[in-house]
Amino acid sequence: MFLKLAGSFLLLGTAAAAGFGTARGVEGQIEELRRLVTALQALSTEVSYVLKPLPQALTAAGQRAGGAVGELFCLLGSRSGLSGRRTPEDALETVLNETCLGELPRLARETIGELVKSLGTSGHTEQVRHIDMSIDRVRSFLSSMEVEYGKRARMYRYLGVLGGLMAVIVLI
Amino acid sequence: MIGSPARTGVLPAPAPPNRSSVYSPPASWDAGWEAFERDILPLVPDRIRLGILASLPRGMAVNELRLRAGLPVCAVLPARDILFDGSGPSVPCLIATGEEIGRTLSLVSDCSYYALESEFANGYITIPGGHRVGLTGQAAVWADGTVRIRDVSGLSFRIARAVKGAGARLARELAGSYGRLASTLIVSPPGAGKTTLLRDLCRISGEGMPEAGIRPSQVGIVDERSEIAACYGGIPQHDVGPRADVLDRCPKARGIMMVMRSMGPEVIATDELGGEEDARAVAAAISGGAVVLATCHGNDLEQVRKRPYSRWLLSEGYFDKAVVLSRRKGPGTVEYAGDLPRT
Repeated sequence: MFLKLAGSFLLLGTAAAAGFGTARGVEGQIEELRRLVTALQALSTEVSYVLKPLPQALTAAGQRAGGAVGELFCLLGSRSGLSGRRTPEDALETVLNETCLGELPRLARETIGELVKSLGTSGHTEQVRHIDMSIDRVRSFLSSMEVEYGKRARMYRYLGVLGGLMAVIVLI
Repeated sequence: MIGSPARTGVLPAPAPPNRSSVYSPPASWDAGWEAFERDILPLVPDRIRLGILASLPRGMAVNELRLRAGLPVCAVLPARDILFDGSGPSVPCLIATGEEIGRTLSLVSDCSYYALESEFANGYITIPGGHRVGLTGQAAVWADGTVRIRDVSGLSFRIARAVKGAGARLARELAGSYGRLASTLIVSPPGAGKTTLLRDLCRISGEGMPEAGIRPSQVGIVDERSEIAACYGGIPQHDVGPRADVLDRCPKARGIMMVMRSMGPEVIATDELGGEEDARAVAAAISGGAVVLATCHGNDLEQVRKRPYSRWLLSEGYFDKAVVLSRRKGPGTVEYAGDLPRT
């Protein structure tokens, strides 16, 4: 009896943890998206007001944002331009595998991929416009994800707990 | 043995090589390999870099490297150039592609076109080490008169050389009153070393040179084309002395007045005097008590006098001394140094 009880609690706990973990994963995606917006805004400021060279601007933006996105921006900064001897596009290829961007949604990764193609190749006004367009894109995705998150996170938690309960009932 | 420079006469009529006023250039004037290998080669595509390294002997003085889309790479040496067209067993065929030019341009601009728009409009950018990259391609003239080069198809890396001591032997000749250099006009054709000499005179003015009677002075450098101090990120890449304030990439006429008002320099250095505005600014600076060291394109002083504003500056006696350089014995050959003849 004691073993059954312990097993049931273990099963319930594991299923609930899985549900809460999945919910946290969604939360992590949203957090990284917020960081991406912060990084892009910082990049826009560095480009438009400070006219900082792109590698330094990317590093400054990355340091401001933090997290996986911040790490990505810092690496992009250090591996591109005169010191890195690479274009931002080439640098992105090399750093993508080294950062834990698994939490970043596909659309955000696509946005970064498209943005780096235009980074440093156009004039001041156009450059800021490119970055601002990326910010708008990520923001609209972020707001839709936040609404979605409210529903999905609750669902994952319920699913975890209820799924665990169901398994306990079936097994008992 | 350095002789005494001539001080009078028509300047400089083609002179015999053994003329006492002719100084041979310093040995270090042509030393460009180290900078070429360290600063320039890493920026060009691997294929071209390796080809050049395999064919040029280490230590060879290189003045320029030119990449042109669809054409052989060209290395310009002090006395000749090498076209990498595969014409000989030791000369590989290195044709630069448009894509390679684009990638190289992206690197030399530090992937920051937006931060260098005015430099692109002028047709060149300065890279670390003070080297200059000239751009050619299809120019587009905008409604506001600005020129932009699009589809860049040619890059010319000009290796900057700071020859410390290039002006030391002339300092005594150019010394003026109050322990400063006299206002001096340096005249030479392109590539003969007038900016190199000007840079060293800035250093000498800042450091002082007691043996020539020159005390340390505050120096203001108006570096419109980023050639004198070759600032990168606002920091001079060449040694222009410990008392130099550099106003980088600022139009000369405006810059001279700005440094006069803001920094109160005793010596002002500027490169390549041109039109009326420049001449009036120089005149105002000299009238205001500053010493002006300036350069001017020309083969000799007669040629300089043919230009109206240069003639006005010379005839009104703003400059006290002149230096005429040529490439006759290599860059930095001094054809004349001394008082400026008034006729």
